[in-house]
Amino acid sequence: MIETKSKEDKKLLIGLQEGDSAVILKIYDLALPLVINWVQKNNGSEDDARDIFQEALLAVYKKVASNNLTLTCTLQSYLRIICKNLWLARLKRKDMQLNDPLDEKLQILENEHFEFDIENNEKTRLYVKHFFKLGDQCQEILSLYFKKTPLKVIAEKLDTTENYIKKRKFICKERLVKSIQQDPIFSEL
Amino acid sequence: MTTEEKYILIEKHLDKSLSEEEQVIFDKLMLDPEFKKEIALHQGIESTLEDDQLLKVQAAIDQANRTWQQPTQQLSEAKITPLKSIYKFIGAVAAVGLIFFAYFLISKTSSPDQLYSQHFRNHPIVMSQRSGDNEITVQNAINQYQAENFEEAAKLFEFARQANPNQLAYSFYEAISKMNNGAFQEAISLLKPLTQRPKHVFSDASLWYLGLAHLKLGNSKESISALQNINSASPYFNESSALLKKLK
Repeated sequence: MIETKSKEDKKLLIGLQEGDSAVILKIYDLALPLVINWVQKNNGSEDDARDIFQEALLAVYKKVASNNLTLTCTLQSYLRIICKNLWLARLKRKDMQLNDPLDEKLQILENEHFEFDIENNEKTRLYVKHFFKLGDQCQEILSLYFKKTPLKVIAEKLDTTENYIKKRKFICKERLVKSIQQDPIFSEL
Repeated sequence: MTTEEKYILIEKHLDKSLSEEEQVIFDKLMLDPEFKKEIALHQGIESTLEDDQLLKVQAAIDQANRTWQQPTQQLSEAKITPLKSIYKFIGAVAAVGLIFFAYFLISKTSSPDQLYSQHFRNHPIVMSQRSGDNEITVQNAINQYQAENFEEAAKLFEFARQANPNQLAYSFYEAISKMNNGAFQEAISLLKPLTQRPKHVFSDASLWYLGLAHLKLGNSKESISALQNINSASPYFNESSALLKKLK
């Protein structure tokens, strides 16, 4: 169940849950400018802000999908708080801190209040990000394989042999694992 | 052992389909912390990527991210009102004051609650951008205030005030945020000292909001006392005079 203060926020969350990119664009308009502004003032770039914003959206999706979201503030504030905490976690790993110590204290308090599992969210985003960097065929084979589809069925679907799929699956998986391991964020987690 | 063989072993472990012989090899490999990490990675990848809807949502997020462009004018920059525009603001308040004055000539009787609702509106941000240790907190507070997230705004202005008690603006906007949250007594505690300080840019506005906070709590005497002290040159003077006529 999704509980929000406003109907508009609820509509946006349902759109996010359904993977509606037009609704997601509205969420970008609503919250990303503030996040970019704040990250840029705290040793980050627009790309950093966009990256953590995507991570925050996935975190919100996971909460919505698990029927575990009661918003006591606006969606804009909620996303802002998640993004700040994600950015704060990244800065800390680099032995850096926010430009405003008071802001940092506040983020820690907010994080305790909302109980974000930052590391878990970062891992999800990392896996998904690198999965989408693979070619279409690799994505399809791995996606079917992870859903426990037998190799024989995958081979039939792609009009090829089981042996070929077995070999391709290994190549694709190895590519994915290496790509994740080479990401600087992976070594920080 | 080749990478492929290792992957097959991990897959079988995750499927719980290791033979006894493979289990022995696996247990030996588990003594290596790097191998343990690799298993956690494979497990994480599998459990994340088996979720079709999550992948669909990520694809939609990617698409939105490619499409979305940063507005040319930064939101926060647009929202900070430079001090020099105060004259425009005074003019606007005076105009609004006249409208309210006319309205009260027509309206004969109203309860304190109704009067409060008719007169209360948020004071616009009139604050020069300051640089310093808590610049970002103040920036956030302004953003939250302007987005009408008053619970957050009150909290952030409170942080800013504690860090810099000499900045009267922080107390002032914290008080208005608290009024929006229904914490009128707390707002009064913040506004009262502002009305007792030597003349400053928020003196008359503080008296105005103090009067309104007392009005909301049903303290007519205190409300009248605050409103009567508003300077005749203040943009709030006409409106406060109209309100006083209704209160007396």
